[in-house]
Amino acid sequence: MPRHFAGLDGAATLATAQFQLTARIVADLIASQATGVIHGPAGTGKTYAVEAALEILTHDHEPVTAYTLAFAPGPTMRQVTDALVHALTGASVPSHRSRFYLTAALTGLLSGPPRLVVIDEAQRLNGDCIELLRHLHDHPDTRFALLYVGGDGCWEVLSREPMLRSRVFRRLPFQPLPRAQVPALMRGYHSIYHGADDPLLLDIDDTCAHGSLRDWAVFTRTAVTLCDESGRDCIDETVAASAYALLGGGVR
Amino acid sequence: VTSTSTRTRRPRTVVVDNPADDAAITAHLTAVAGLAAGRAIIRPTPGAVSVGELGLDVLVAAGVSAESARQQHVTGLCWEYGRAWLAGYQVTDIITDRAHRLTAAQLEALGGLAADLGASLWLVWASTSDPATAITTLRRRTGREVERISVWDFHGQLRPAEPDTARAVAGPWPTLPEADFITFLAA
Repeated sequence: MPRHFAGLDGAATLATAQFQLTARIVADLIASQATGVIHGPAGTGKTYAVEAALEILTHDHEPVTAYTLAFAPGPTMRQVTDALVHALTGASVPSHRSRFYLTAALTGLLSGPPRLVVIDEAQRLNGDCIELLRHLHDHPDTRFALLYVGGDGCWEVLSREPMLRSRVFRRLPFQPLPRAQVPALMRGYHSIYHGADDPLLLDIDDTCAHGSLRDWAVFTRTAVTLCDESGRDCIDETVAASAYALLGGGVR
Repeated sequence: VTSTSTRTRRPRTVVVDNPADDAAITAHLTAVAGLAAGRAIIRPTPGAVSVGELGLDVLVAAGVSAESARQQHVTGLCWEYGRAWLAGYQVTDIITDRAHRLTAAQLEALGGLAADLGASLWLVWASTSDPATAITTLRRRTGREVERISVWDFHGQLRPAEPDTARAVAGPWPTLPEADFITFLAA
């Protein structure tokens, strides 16, 4: 399993519906060489779920290679092309090489064994870059699945592009953890929550986490340290209050 | 260069309206493609806005590697080479995907290519933008009226090529030489 945010040790993977659907969607995309989108607010576990799904990638019992790319806001088509060539070949692209030939070369590079290309922070792409990826994906010689993963505004950006909207085979919106499910989920998340009661766990969620797994990881890392320092096995109101103080009083 | 094939159909210039950018047309283009059947599919490289770069896409549509053209320093002649290869294949239909992204100069060059070859030109217009300017350019360059049809009509009017039965019964494949190939020459 991937590392939890903030280097948190001892935490379990929460098999939420979104987490399990991610594995299914990634498998479906690879099987159909199709395009998918996973999007949702930051900290809701998208990247963790995708990384976990990538660890078990196979297609017809053959391993599938995944390439995860992320770009600064507003990348150019040249930057996307160079990043893809570098990811596929390991070689840096000479700046004098024309993007036209690199694009043509990519159709060849992507024509071999099945692959998965993951574009993280996909909301940063503009229409030209999405068109470039469409060009490569639609080409009859290429064989790869394409997964866009993005945070706030991702679906709004991607769905504005008709060429992408009509090609999305799977789409999964991530949401923060439902408040009502937080106590049960968190008691299985880390041993310090095993004996915690519902009101305390809901107070932590209301104060610090707001259903965000990333914020829960940060809080838990802090609380584990405080429990260790005070000789406790389980969190209580005192530890929670101290953690709130260390985390800015729970102010978001 | 003009194809010497016997043509029974009047060459047409057709804009295929695909305002929703329906992805199904991608599979249809692959199904109808085939130089042996006289159909060339041009897939313009995104961001390639010059006539010369589109010429390289034409070359690729004619089954020739653009990289080979670069290595042989003939990229400046890509339109001439592409036209010659397409004439050699007796191409009757030139289908251009993503035509809405082409510049006026690129559309004019495509119109000239189709007129020279006496081939029908199909332009897939995957946009809600008005193709009126493109139609004017194409009408002037090809000397033909420009038709507009829907994706649905396109599927009906340009069907997947029939298997080449004449070629299939022509006989067995030639015997391969036993000697190893040291290198492959670029086309």
